[in-house]
Amino acid sequence: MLQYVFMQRSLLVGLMLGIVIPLVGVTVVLKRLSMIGDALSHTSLAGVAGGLIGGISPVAGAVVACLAGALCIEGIRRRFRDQSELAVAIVMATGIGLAGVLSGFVPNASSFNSFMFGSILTVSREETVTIVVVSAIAVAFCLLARRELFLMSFDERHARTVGVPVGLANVAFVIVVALVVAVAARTVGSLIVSSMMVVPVACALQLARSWKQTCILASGIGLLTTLGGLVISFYVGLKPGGTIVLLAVVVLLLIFAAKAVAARVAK
Amino acid sequence: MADTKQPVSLRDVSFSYRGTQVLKGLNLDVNEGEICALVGDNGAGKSTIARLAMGELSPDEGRVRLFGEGPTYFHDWSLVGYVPQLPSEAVSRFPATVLELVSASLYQGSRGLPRKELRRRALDALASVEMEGYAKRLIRELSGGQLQRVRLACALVGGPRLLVLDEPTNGLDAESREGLYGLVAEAHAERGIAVLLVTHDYTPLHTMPCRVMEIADGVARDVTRPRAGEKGQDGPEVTPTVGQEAPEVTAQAAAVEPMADADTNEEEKEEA
Repeated sequence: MLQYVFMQRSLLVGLMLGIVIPLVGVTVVLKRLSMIGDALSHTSLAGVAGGLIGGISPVAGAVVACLAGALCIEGIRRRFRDQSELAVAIVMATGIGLAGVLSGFVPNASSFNSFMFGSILTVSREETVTIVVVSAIAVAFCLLARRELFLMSFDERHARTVGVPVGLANVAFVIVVALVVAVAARTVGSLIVSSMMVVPVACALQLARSWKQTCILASGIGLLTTLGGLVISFYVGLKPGGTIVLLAVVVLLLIFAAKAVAARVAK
Repeated sequence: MADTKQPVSLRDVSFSYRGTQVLKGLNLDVNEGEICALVGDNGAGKSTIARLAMGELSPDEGRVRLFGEGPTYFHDWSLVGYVPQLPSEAVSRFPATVLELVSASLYQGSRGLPRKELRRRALDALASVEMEGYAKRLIRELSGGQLQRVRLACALVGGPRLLVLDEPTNGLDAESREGLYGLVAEAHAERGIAVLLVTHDYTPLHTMPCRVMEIADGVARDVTRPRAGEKGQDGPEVTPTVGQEAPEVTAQAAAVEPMADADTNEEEKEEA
């Protein structure tokens, strides 16, 4: 398996995304914005379609669309503080609508379709570099701004009253999420990204005894299921994106089962 | 004219929620080192005043100052500690330890602080609220009373000069309420912290030396009465009843000593 350059690249990309997607997913889930991954990934499809129609890089189109979608979400969320899920729903609807309409004008339908379920096995050298750079930025942000992310995830009002610049931090965070979703859409697929953001975090929440452990476990489980999913898909001949997510779901179910058994034994 | 560096100062503040006027030309100061309790009926605007002071809301008219600065532009939040009402389910189930939360709450001025020092200050804050044994516990494992104590530790960890407590004992049993107010009184006595307390609960009014402001009809009125067991200037004792709702106790206090108000002044003028 490792003698193939495409597998080496895929495993490197899988390693980076397996860590960074769940890492940003911790804050996404705890801020109760779990649907933001879906909203931005659907918006990225609109950007991909726009890029293919305009003859520019579809990844660049995805990045621009995701950034625009992320800033719209944050802007609408500030306007409707008590109904922040509306912001996500509005942007998702707009993204889906635009993607649907623009897909009718895309010259190469198979290229557009590859963005829906991803093509991690055909990622190019340039795309690999982009993914590594964006992943490094995202991990650096999550480390440097960990206190801000922690406090905003706990309670934005509390964060504000201890001095966190909540507005700025929220904008910075959604931009990072947008960048991660945009580059991940190309590799694991727009329809898969949000699951990769949520399921490893769900696993971690079952096991962790602190916020720090939640972040480490989510990234660890994301890494293992991504690499594991790639290996399984290579040998069994399955679609990698779907395999990765299904493996994460299996891990979650096993954790539930193990906790149920442990609880019975303890009684 | 009030000192502009007062912890809290509201001048001629008016505020309305979606067309319903709540505050009308309200004036209120919280001075250094004093406890100011806001009492009143539901919907009177007590929590609104706390939220205006914390910069969450902007007044329709008038001026709000926090240590002499507008709260929207206020920058030294280490001077202020805030304890809200019992938190939401989501907050109560946040996957973090008590120590993580209190350490993180020492936000401003903690950059560059060694981890050991940060941990020590957080443990000191927990000790001041008698929760140091719960440092490694998850937040979701705490009772309501314990969680509010931890929130108080979060408010105290930065060494504030002002505490804003917005109905911090809502939903707590009598023992938890008394415990929490005891800790607030201790912090006030030891550190000289000013306290703005929004409350339905009359427990603290009889156990802490505080100025009591009743919020009614959009304005604030000083209704401070002698504390439990102390005689009023005209002789009758004010007997407290723990846990009574605001209107009933306000009526009791009015029955013991007539309050100076416009109607009474009119009657006196007529008699004269």
